[in-house]
Amino acid sequence: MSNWVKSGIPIQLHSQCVIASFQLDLQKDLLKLFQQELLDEIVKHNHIKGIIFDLSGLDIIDLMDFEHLRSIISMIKLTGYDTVISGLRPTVVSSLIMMDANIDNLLSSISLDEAVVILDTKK
Amino acid sequence: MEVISRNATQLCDLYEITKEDIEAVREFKPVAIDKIPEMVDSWYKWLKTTAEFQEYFADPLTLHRVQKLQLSFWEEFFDANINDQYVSSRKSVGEVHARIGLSQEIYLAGVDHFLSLFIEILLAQDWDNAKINKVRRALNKIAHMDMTIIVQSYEHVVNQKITAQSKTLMAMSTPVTQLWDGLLLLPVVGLIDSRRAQDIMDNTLNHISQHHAQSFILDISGVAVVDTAVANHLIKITKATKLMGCECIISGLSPAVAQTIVELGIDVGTIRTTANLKAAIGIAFQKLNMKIVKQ
Repeated sequence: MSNWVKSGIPIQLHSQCVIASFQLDLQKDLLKLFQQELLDEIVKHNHIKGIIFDLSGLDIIDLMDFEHLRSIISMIKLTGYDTVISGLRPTVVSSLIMMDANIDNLLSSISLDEAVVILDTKK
Repeated sequence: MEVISRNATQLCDLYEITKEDIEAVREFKPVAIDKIPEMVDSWYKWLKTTAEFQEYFADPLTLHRVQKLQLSFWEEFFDANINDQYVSSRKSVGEVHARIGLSQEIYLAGVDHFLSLFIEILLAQDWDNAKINKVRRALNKIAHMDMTIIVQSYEHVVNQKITAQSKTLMAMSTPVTQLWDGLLLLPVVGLIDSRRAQDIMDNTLNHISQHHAQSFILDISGVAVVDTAVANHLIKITKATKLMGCECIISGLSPAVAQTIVELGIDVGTIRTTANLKAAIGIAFQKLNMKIVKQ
């Protein structure tokens, strides 16, 4: 039955970038499902520039979920692609910094346009 | 800060002002009221000896108005109709004192001067001791209640002023300005404590998301002291801006600051730092793929 369960996070292809738009509050199970779906999607394509996580729909991200996102980014890196985090809200950033989240080696951008530009220059 | 505001009945309870007290004061009124103009004169003679006189009452018109107010106030005082209207009129007196900056000192001394004059008159009456004591006690109670209302509303106005000022100061302390499309500048002047650092961070992040900025220059040439705590705050701010997808450049690192940072063993990581604003703007324009050309 588990094959029928979906994370509900849309994964789209735009200007050769895989874009995942988060709109639901993050949860461990949800992220696990998403991780599987995303990696499956990535290996299907041959000519992509990279992956963009659009986090502009999230009001809150806790430390555990942030770490999980980081580990997903590391997994993607193993498949040979870079990931850009896009559109983090000021309040989310402020709380992550206050919780001392590790943000080393992360690529981030203010908008999707900017994220595509970053991936272009990385290629 | 929320101020507990009591209404007239609650105030009367607080000062244990009973009907008898009010009766006693009313009984004293006919005796006292004749002497009041005299007393106001005597009070102004006393006032002239104080330093505040020149500052607040030098204008004869003002003096006349205040004297009139005094007369009507004492009449009201002896009527002893302690209701909410009376309380609010007392409150407005305190607010006026606070607005014109009349010190509490001179006001309280003034009330005390009047009280002692009343006691003098009271003692001159050929009433029996019990009655004199009762009137005296009643006068004290009501006068003290009056003073409290005025002092409290004075304090309230002053507190409001302070809150308003600190708000403006906070807003002034983080003036994020847009230098160019996608380029923000924040010159920081003064001391950075954790509260201010948080303020700077929140303000900066909001501006970055508003303007879609890609570069952000934090000019710290006006920061007096950079110690471990301040450096950590600055590192946090740069981390936050990086997470927003905006590159942060810290400019205005003086030789002294550079030395302290290294001597304290602070790891600034990959943060771009420059000695002056010019170099920082150069780096930022480079990132924005722009160039300033001389015509």
